[in-house]
Parts: sequence; structure tokens; C-alpha cells
Amino acid sequence: MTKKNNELGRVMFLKHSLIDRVIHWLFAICTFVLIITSFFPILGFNFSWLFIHWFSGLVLVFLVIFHSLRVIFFQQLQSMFISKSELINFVKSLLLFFKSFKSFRYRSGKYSLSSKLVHHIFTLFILITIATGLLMMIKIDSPFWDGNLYFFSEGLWGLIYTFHDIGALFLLTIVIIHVYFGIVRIRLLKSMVTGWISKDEYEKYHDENLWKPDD
Amino acid sequence: MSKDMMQSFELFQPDNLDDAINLLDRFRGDSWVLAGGHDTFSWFKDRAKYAPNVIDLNNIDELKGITETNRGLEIGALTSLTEIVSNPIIKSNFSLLSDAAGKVASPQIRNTGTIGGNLNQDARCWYYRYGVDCYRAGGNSCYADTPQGQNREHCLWGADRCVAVSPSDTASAMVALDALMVIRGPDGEKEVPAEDFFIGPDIDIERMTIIQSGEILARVILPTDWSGATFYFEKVSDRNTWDFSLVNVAAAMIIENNVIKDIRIVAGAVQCTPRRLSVVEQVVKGSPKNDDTASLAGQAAIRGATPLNYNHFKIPLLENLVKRAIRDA
Repeated sequence: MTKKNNELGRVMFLKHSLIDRVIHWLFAICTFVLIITSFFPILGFNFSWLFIHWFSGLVLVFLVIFHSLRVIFFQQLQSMFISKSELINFVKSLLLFFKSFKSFRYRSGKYSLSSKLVHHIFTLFILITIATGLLMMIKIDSPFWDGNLYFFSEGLWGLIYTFHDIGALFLLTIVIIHVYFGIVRIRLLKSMVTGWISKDEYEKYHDENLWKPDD
Repeated sequence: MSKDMMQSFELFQPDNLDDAINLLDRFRGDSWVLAGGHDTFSWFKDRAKYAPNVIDLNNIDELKGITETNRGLEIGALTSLTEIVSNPIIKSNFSLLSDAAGKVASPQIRNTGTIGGNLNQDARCWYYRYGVDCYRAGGNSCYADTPQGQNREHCLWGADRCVAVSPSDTASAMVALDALMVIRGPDGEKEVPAEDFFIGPDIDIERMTIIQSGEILARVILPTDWSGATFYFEKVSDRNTWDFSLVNVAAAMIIENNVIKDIRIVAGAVQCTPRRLSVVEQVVKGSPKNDDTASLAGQAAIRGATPLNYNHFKIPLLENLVKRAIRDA
């Protein structure tokens, strides 16, 4: 069901299905756990963080794989692509803002340009941190392999750690930005919790030529 | 690079603890606390660690001496190990500690080495001591825990990137005696049970104790609970003098009619902190003190041990030491 009437009789459209919301919040939990277990010990909050850190990292890897397969085979991958018209509208809005300090609001498809950008930046830095994190696991003993310190050269290990740390710092930054806008634009947070948006919101923020809730 | 030539540093010699704390507060991460100097100068001479400001505690009288109070026996952190070995009250009531202190290093070292220094000493992993950039030194590798790594002295439990062990003999005795560590810092004094005083690499890989920059171990309180109990301490090392434990066992027991009514037993040099053998305590409490109980205790002591490449021998060694502790105490 992608359309319903709420208790006040208003028409509501489904924006995020239950499975998408579950995946989003699982991503959020994993990312927060990873951030807490990596940055809090540096800030002086000492606790046994390592196991929780790499275990959450592995959960994140599985979530990424699941999400990717689901998007490729069962959803519309192109809904996340940034179109030429979106970029043109974005430039137009910027020009108008700098020229006369007025905002030019254009309606987007299912996801706005800013949502897409946040998603792609998240994708980039999550992929960097999990790829380097997985390589770091070569160093530790597990039931499946013995840790090997010498698998890579000293210099390459250094690069892996550097990329992991830089990725983590950027991830922290984008999480802060994402949380900020989630709070400021409460409708986005609300739709990610309930899954639904009102008809008014749909008409105000979304272009029916770009996204129909039945899609 | 010359390894026996120390870099120069500013030496501060406060004559009271408040001044020492103020100095530590002033210099923060650029300071180093000096007591007996045995750990300090090996670091400095090897040029593996350095601090530009050294705060020598040796002029602070309130950190010295052994006093009986209504809380038990209070031992100043600057009390020498020789004083502890020869103190009549410790010998009669807490002989576990005097036995452990008597096994530390050599007589010359015990004359100047302090109880505070012995409890706070850093890990003795030779890779770390050599100055390599291992995890404990702030790097991203453990050179001891590799297929080629020499880890004969390293841990059986509690490995978390670092596999070094607690090198202190008196630490095991302090945990067995349920001692309280009194730490002085800028915010005043706090007391911490010995069991919580030592921390593993999972909590903070660059420290061995909960003492933070700016704090000093002021004294140790031995509560009267275990005064006059039956004690056992045994240390096995490669040499009988001037060597660190391969394994040590410290036990305090209350025995009535040959039944072990209560016990605290601790193993040293098997993990990064003194390892309290709680399973052994549960197994032997209420049991008769005999060979069967001792054997059970020995088997219980080694449960969950995970040896590295070259320290498998520590497992039967620990088993036998625990067995002897129960049987021969």
C-alpha cells in the first residue's frame, strides 16, 4: 500500500517502506556505535571498545551488501542518480539567492539533490572505512585465520590506517550535518520514522513527473 | 645513537605532595614522576621515552613509612621494598606482601626501589622496551604477537592487541590482600581497590594502571580483614635473582579445622593485570585443604588460557603453582 488516509482523513503517501526504514536505522545504530567506539576513547572515556568496534563494522558490511543487492535487483537504482535538470535547478537557485537573496524552491523526485548528495558522501566514506577496516582485520586472530602483521608492508599499513582515520573523520562530519538537518527539517525525520508523507508535503516538495508514490 | 647517555631534563624536587601535584598540573604531559628510578632510567637511557620535566618525589616525607591506623596498615608509596621485607608488622600480619617484595629483583634494587614504583612499573615486553612503535607505544602493531614474535614471557589471558603482562610481583600480593590504593590528584584523594587499580589494554592500551597524568599513588592501605591469614607466594622466573616473573601466585586463605573458609588467590605475569582466580576461589571455598582440592584448583586456574606461540609452558606452570598454593600454604 503506497497511499492511505490518516486518522484525520488526510491523504498520505508512502515514501519509505518498512524495510528501508529498518535498514536506515540499522545503518544509523552501527555508525553511532562505530563513532562512539572510535572517538570516545580518544576523548578519555576508557572502556573495552575494540570488539564492539569491529563487530559493528562487520554488521555494517553486511548491511551495505544487503542494501546494495536490494537496490540493484528490487528497487530503482536510478532514483538516486543526480540528473542534469537537478543540477541546473540547483545552480539557478544559487544564482537567484546571490543576486536577490530570494530562494528558488524547485520540486524534486523522491529524493532531493541534498539527500542524494548526503547519501553519496556517506557511501564514499563508509566504503573507504569498511574497506580499510576489513584489511585491518588481517592483523587480528580470528577463528578463521591467524593475524598477520606482515601481510602488507609497513608503508602500506600506514596508508590503510590513514585512509581509515580520514574516512572516519569525514564520516563523523557528515553524520553531524545529517543529524542537524534531520532535526531542522523535522518532516524528513518524521517520514523516516513513520514512512509516510502528507499529500500537502508531496505537492510542495515533490514533482509528480519525477516521482509518483505508486512507482 | 648512544643508548646510555640520557637527554637532559629539568629536575624538580618538591618537599610536599601538594607541590608535586601542582608541578604535574603545570607540566601536564611533559612531566615524569621519579621515585626509585629503576623503571625511569631504563626508559631514559634507552631513549625510548623522555620527559623534559622530571619530578623527584624522594624529598616528600609523607610518602614514606609504614603506619598502623584504625583502617589497617598504611604504606607510603615511597617506602622501599627492603623496608617492606623487613618490617615486623608486615612480616607477622601480612607476610604475603613481604614474601612478594623479597622476590623483587636484587637486594640492591630493593634498597632503592619503592613499593609505588614496583606497582606502577611499565610493561616489560622487549619490543615495547626497545622503543618500537607498537600498540602500547601509540603505534598500530604488536610485534610480540606474530608467528615469529618472541612471546615466551607474554600473556595467557586478556590479549587485546597488546600481549604484555603485569610485571609486578607485589601487585599480585596487593590484589590478594584486597589492598586499597590511595591516589592523590588535583581534585584531592581517591581510594581504589587494588583489583581495579590495574587496567588492561582493552581499557587503555598505553597505561598499566588507572593513574592518569597529574596523579600520584600516595599510599597503600592493607585492611585488617586478611591480617594474620594463611599466606602463600611463589614466583618462578628464569633466574632466581634480578628477574621478572614467568608466573607468580599469591594467595591469602582463612583456614579452620583444615577447611578453607575464605580465599583470595591471584596469578601474576599471565595477563596484563594481576589475574584474580575467581573460579579457583569458588572451587576451593568450603573444601578441605588436601591434595584433591589442590588438584581441582590447579585445573580450574587454567580454564580459558590462550597461549601464544612460545608460552604454552606457562599453563602447566600456573596449574602447578596454584596446586602448591592450596596444598602447601
